[in-house]
Amino acid sequence: MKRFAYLLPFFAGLAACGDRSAAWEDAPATTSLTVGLADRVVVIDDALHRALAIAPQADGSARFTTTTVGHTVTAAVATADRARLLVLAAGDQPRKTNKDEPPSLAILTATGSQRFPLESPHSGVALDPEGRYAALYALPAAAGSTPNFVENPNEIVIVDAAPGEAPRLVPHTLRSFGGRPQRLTFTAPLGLPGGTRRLLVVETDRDISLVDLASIHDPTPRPDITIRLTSGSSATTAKPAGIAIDDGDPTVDDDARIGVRLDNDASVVLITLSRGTNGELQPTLNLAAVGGTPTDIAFVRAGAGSADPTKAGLRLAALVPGTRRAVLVDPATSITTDVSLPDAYSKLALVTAEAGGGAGGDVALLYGGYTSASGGVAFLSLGKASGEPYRSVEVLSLGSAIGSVLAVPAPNANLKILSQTNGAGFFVLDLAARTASPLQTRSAASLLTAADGSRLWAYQARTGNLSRIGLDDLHPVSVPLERPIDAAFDVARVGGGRTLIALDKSGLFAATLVDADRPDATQARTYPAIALEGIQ
Amino acid sequence: MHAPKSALGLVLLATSSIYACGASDSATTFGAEAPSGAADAGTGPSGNGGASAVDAGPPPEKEIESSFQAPVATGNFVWVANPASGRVAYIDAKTLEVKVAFAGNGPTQIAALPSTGAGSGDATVVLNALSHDATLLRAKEGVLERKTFAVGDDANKWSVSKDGRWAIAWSDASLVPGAAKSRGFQDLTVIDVTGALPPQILSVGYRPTAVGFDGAGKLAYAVTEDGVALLELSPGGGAAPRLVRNVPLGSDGPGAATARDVSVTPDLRFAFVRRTGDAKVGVVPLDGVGAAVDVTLDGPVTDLDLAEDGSKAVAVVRETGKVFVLPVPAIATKPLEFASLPITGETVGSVSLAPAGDRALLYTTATPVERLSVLSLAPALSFRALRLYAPVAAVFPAPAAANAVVLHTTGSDGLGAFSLVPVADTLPAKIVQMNAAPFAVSVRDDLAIVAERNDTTRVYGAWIARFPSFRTEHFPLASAPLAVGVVPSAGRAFVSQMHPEGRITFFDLATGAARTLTGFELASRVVTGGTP
Repeated sequence: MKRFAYLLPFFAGLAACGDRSAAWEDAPATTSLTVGLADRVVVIDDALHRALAIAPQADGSARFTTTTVGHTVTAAVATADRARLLVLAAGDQPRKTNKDEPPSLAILTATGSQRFPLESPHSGVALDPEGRYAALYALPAAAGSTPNFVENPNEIVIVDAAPGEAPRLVPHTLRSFGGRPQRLTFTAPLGLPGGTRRLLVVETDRDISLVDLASIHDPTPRPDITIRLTSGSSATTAKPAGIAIDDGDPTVDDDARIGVRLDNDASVVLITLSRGTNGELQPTLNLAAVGGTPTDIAFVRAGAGSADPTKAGLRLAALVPGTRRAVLVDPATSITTDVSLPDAYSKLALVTAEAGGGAGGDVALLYGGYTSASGGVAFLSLGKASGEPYRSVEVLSLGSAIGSVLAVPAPNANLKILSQTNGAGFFVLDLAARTASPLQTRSAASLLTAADGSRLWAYQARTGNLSRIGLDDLHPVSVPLERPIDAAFDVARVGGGRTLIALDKSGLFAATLVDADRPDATQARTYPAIALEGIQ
Repeated sequence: MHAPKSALGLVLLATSSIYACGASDSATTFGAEAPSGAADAGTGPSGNGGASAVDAGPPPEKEIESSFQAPVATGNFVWVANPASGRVAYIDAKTLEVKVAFAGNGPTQIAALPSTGAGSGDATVVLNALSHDATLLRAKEGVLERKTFAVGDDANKWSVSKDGRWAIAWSDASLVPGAAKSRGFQDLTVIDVTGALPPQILSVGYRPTAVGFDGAGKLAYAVTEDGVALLELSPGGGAAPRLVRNVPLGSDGPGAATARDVSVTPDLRFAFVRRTGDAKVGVVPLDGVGAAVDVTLDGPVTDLDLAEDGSKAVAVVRETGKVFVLPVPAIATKPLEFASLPITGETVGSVSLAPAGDRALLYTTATPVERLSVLSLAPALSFRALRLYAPVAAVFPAPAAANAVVLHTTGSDGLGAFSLVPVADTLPAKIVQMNAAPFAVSVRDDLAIVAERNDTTRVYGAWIARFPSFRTEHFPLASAPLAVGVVPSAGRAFVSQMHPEGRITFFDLATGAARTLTGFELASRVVTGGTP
């Protein structure tokens, strides 16, 4: 479809007046790839192979800039600090002429961009929460969906963007026993035999691989460690379904652990990153049955009783909604302690610092109703008295199952936003006070919190219904917009302050800017057809 | 014979364990038993033929025999067999790295081979029940050597020589309950692990009950119902081991062997025979020199133990409360010349000689007596009594006999107890209440480990007691314990446990830290380095 079919009659007469950009000949790309960075929103325009950035200015207007990216964008993700955008492109497939672009990775920052050609297209990006690394890999997908005739799913690319250095891409092929990567996780620095360093933990569909990030640039990197989760005595493969990581005592270099829960298996695997005969990292394994398939796990501590919190009882907590239990597994002995729960919670999040815990033991927020009758959340507090771990469960009954929990940045990190699964509203949970304030919505709302932690936005997708809720007073302010909202982002504004940018992804895209601190629909600025921006 | 001879504990189980390993002759014996005083007249190896429903005299002394096997520890590794997979896992006790080795079909009994010198590595032999062979596994400088030998069909136990050169696979009929009388279990397979001589299957008397070696590693013996069979291991000239002679132990009639206790001196010169209810101790020369003699004591001999150096035999007559010391070899030619000492004021029926040989522990398990006597054998016979606070079920002296562990009978509440007894010092014993019945024990000069187990309440744990301080630490366990042991070179004790994937908990003896490994074969599939 021609981009400007409706304008053809007008331009027809001017056709002979001069050349125009080929971009006009291309149909606008319908893309859902919109990413919020710290101070801008980026829309991926795959048809024109560019990233269109919308940056709010001091006067409330928007400044548009474009950056070239690769062809056939498969992923666009922002780093944890929202300072950089990684755009992964598969290139032109099949590539028959030298004009056809190869796969590439573009890294966009506020000051510029860099593009790196890739040997193969990748569809997944795993990000380092500390912002230094990223890993490109093949998302688990049905066979035959790859653009290449043959693809090795165990070929990954590690992107190392160390501060002060130019990003480096390191291709890496994982050792495989038939598995394909499912999830990649970058660890924090861990005390390990041979020195403190970080690992990339790759969960395939049958094993765990550990990639040593400290040596990826070495001429002879440390070999991967592969932990096979199936004993080989049967054809059934044990599939990882999630991991938890604990560094242990920071002064000890052989007690870091990885907990693994398995898909459709009632055991958890505890991997201790011990020292081997040669002094190098040699994982040892421990299994513990938890009485049912766990849906979530986390390492928790059952209280200190001493100045050194690491001497407290370390446990791997496993939520088993099928039995309405949390099972605490002692990683040293495999001894399990069952904690009966009043409901079948399926998710847990550690909220110790926010809930005012710490010296007395970890506090976990349990949520995620497993059954339709489940409702509310619960606090699981772990402590230690007279050397024996104890735990208490405090239920906050909300009368509705909670589907997701949204974190709020500081200074309101003690708040969590709980979305009801029935779409009737949400709660603002105060972890310290253990209060939950309900906010009702007419229909299911999409929620986002501001990076400065001071407010919450709620909007109804594909409508102009928008509200701003101050997290200090929980006062909702309605900010109805003209254009329907498909996505919204709260970003910093040039000169100070913050702006909400709401996007309408239909047609040629539209962006509406609203002052986030003093939202006023009458003062909102709407920019229609932003897909035309930058086209001469 | 009760004295534990090594640091490795064995476990009595009613059902078979997945990980079954053979114990050497020197294994510590232990077992859970019925409360003392239970009438079991005429049953079991200690059955007292004199007891009947009318004459409710004291029951026989209960001997705690091992009827199951444990993982074995060599210098650096703990070895565990998995009959289901045909593999043997060996765990480095220092690093807890697990490797597996393929054995044969259905590996069950494992025995550790003593080190033959520096650089000889860690070696074990394992019986493969289904392929009717045995596999020698030797881990040496990171490389595993493997050899397979054919063995007799019914072999279910190992005996290993002290020099580590010889291993005999034999059949213990007590491990095959309900075996037909026509099954004699008479084949012994003598294996030269060096390979210098080929394995040899030899036939001995009916149903051997014990197999051992002399200290020099030249001769072996098998105690059978037909007498003691003597085997020459290296006849010379490259000849294979051979059966030299069979020495009858007296004609006792059918089934008499089950009421007979035979102890063989370390040099294989004599066999001491005690028969239940008999006041005579038979001294039978095995070397063909001289005739057998009977040493008549003053009442039915309830127990007899032989010193590890073979210099004496100590017998107890509960009826008269006397202990008798028979000098070896003099008693064979002068059966009337022996020393005795009445243990006045005490009830004793059992004796446990410390391996060091200069002390013995006297007690009774037939009646609920809460006392123990320490018998000094040199320079003169003397004794002192120790007060305990629960009836005795079993006694385990440490090798140097400075201390001992006494297991007490389990109460009706299912709780057991053990006492730490100072043998060398005149100090009170310390009793420790357990959370379940004792299940396995291992005693060394510096520490003891006692495992507890209650399958009904699912309470499982291990106690580590230190000598001489008697400090105890308790460690709960996630699964039922199977066996305990110590790997001194790694500074770790271990408790193996029941788990489909295999489970063992190691305790760092310096720090008290516990580490559990579960999933031996899974752990062996961790790939580090460039090659799987």
